[in-house]
Amino acid sequence: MSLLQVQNLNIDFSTTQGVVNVLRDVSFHLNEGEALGLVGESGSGKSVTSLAVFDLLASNAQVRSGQILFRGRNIFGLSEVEKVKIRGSEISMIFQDPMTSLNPCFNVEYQVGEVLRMHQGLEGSSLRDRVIELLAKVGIPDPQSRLKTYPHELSGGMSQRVMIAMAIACSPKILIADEPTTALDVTIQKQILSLLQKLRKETGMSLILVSHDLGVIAQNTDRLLVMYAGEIVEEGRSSDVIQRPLHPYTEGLLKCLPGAYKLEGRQFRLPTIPGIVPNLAERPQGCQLSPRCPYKFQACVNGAIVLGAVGDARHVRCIKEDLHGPA
Amino acid sequence: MLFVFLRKFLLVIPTLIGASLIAFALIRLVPGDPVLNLLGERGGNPQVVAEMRAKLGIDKPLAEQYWIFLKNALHGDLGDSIVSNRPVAEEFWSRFPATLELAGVSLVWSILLGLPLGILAALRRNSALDYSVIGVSLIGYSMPIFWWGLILVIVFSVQLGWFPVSGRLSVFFEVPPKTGFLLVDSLLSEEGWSAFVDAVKHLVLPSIVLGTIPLAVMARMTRSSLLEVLGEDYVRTAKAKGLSWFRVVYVHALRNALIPIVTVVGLMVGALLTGAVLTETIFSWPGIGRWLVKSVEARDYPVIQGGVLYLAFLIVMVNLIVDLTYLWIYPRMRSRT
Amino acid sequence: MIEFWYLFRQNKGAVVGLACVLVLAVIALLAPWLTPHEPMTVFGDALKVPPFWQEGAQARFLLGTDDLGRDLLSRLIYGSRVSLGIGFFVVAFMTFFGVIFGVIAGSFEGWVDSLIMRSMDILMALPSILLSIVVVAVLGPSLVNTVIAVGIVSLPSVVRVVRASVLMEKKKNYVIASKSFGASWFRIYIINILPNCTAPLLIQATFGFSDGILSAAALGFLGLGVQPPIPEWGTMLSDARSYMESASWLVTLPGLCILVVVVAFNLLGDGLRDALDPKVKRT
Repeated sequence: MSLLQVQNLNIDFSTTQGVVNVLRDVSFHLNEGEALGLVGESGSGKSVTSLAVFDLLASNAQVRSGQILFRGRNIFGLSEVEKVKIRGSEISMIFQDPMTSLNPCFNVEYQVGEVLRMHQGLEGSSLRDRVIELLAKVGIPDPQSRLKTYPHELSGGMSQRVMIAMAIACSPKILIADEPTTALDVTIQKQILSLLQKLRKETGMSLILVSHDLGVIAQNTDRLLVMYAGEIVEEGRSSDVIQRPLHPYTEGLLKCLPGAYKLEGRQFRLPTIPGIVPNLAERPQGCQLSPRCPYKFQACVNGAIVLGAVGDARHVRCIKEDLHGPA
Repeated sequence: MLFVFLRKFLLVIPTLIGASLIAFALIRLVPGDPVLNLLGERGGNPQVVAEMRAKLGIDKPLAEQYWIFLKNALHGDLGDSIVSNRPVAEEFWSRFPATLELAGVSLVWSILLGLPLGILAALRRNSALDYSVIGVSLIGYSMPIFWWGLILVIVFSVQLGWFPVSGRLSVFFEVPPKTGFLLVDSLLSEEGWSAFVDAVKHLVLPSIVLGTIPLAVMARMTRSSLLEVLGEDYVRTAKAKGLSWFRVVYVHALRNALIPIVTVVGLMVGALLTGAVLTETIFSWPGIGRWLVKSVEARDYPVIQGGVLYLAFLIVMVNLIVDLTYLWIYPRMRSRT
Repeated sequence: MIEFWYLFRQNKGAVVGLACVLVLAVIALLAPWLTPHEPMTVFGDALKVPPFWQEGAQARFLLGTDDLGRDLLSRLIYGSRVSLGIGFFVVAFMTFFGVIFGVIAGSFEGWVDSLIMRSMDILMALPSILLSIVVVAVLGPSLVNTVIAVGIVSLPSVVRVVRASVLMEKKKNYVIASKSFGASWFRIYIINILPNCTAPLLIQATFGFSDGILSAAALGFLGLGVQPPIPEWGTMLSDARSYMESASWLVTLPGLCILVVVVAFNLLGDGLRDALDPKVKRT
């Protein structure tokens, strides 16, 4: 059985414009030691999905149906005390903006040490030694002298390393990284990503990497999910998806990558996907991408399109190839 | 850190000089001759007028007057009251404990009640409790406290007879002044406990009146500040770390939410003294506020001058303490120059 | 503007506040037509007549009469003129001088700025009522001096707000552009920047109304504000203190009027702030 299994998850947000369905029938699984990518534009539901794993959704969010099984137990069915035990020790998370994700009132030692105190009951010098060890592990130079620094004295990259140290402190089974490098410089991005890879290999934890950047996902994950308008539209091994995208949206994302334009011959303008993400309060009929899709058929808007299996470990929510056969 | 500290300290000086200038300029700004205003019809005698001028120190050039005033003030000498003929400084310090006791009790209860109310309202946002806190605090900080005081007196003193109408202590108790704080002195006196209860009874209504606005502001600020902080990224981090709800709210969120609250407490000290002027007038409380109002009515210029200077000094010092408290709870401020 | 109205209407409290303020303004304007009696007329045969819900009330004096036999309802209605008038002139005073000092401080920076802001700090360092008492002590108690005293005390809030907006606006591109065209100081700051400070100024002015009315009433209560026989609510309260036991309505009703007016302006101010200030999330 997989470590984490998300089954038919439906989540609504109540907003001023009424109830909005932000996650539609999302199902996926995560295996032990695996790196899974979640890719999509902002508003596609990828962050909601990762927060749902923690049951840390905003107060206006409501899980309408579905479940999330961690080691076979439904997260939504756990008591608050049990959830608190899992968070930060078995499943950890790091966030997009490390500068605002650390509490400005406490120093590094306190914030990293807090996780260990809460989950492992460490105190005193053994606590401090473990914090230093963790800081060294995430590549913070001279960790001893950094213990008393406050978040505002750290750079973005350093803050993210501290966040990672906090996240791996209790050797979690799963680390969820929600856009961990978006707010950072390109060179720092590479360092953070390779740090995550290194830690994953060392500890054998699973990684869920969430990003809008298909390039980042492709390089750092074994398997990926493409999300659009709250639905999973494509799933497959990262290398397969990159080489042969099946969904028009994935294809569009791939073309948008800087450097990819060479494939299109001598084209100097970076391609974009025409149109915008649909307003989730007024979803289009049938395929959610249909208003923007270059291949649109009448059948696309007639009814809901299902996520169909295509060959080995691949799924796609598109009827293009059913109608035309493989391109 | 030391640099920031020193800088804050130095910035206080121009404010104090300004306050001394205002206090000094007062007597000199009064239209007409202050001495003749004071003496009224008796002003006819030129010798009396000259004596009065010398006493007020207004027989010399302006710059020299200010210099003398400043020098004396630094030595704690603010001249003599025209009404009582006693030194202003002495009069001030003899009344100050009464005001401090009243303001202190009011501040303490308003914080003890306002902080939890604000926290509860923020945590139960949009609940009936939240709306009541919003409504009560709106009425609280809109309250004309001089009216509120009278209403409480009508209900609890005149009609129900639960609390005394005015003063700090019933006349039949004899409490020798030791600290000036009746809550302490009464316990030290021979009557002991019964005098203490009497002093507490006298404090109830005035401190409710004086604490009303601080309570409203406190509850409101705590609520909005905590609500804002609860939406911050680091609170999400704290939850993701697997901290208990209690720790998330009371350690991670509240510490940050306290920053604007401390500012408000600092500003409230000024508001408390404003309120003390009115409250002491209503309840005939023998403190600084009532003394100053009476002195204004009696045109006792040295008292107004000295009282304003002392109060300004006290408020500036409180604000300095608040600034330094910031540095303690909010590390980011330490490096900002 | 439409968006503003939309946000403003969402806030029920603000709408109630606005309605109250409008009703009060109408009452104040139409006072001579609404009052059953002249506010200063003395009915020697009807001293301290209680209001209609108490025994011994008289139909011609709906809310009773005061110790001199003047109709309380009429005095309260005329009192709204005095209070709103004071509020209006206090706001006019503090806005006029506040904008001048604020723009100067924000545009010149350097020592001019320091001088103005330090002075404001000093004004803030003194308890507001004490400062206005002192101003009244110097100028003497009267209606005009009440406005001046309360206006001076309210000045720092406006100066700070205007200065902060000017400092923020002057860094924006449209100002830099107009500078690069060689626009004069007046054109840059008064014609270009000042209109962009309207929103915070409006919020501040609304709170200035409530603070001003409250402070003026407090001065009146201390006997240092508007002088009798002008029907100012605070002064009326102060006069009625001696009859607290025998004629409690003389204390309760004027105070209630002050409370209602102040609550209305505070509600309106909160609503305006929520609707106009994008930085403050709607909480």
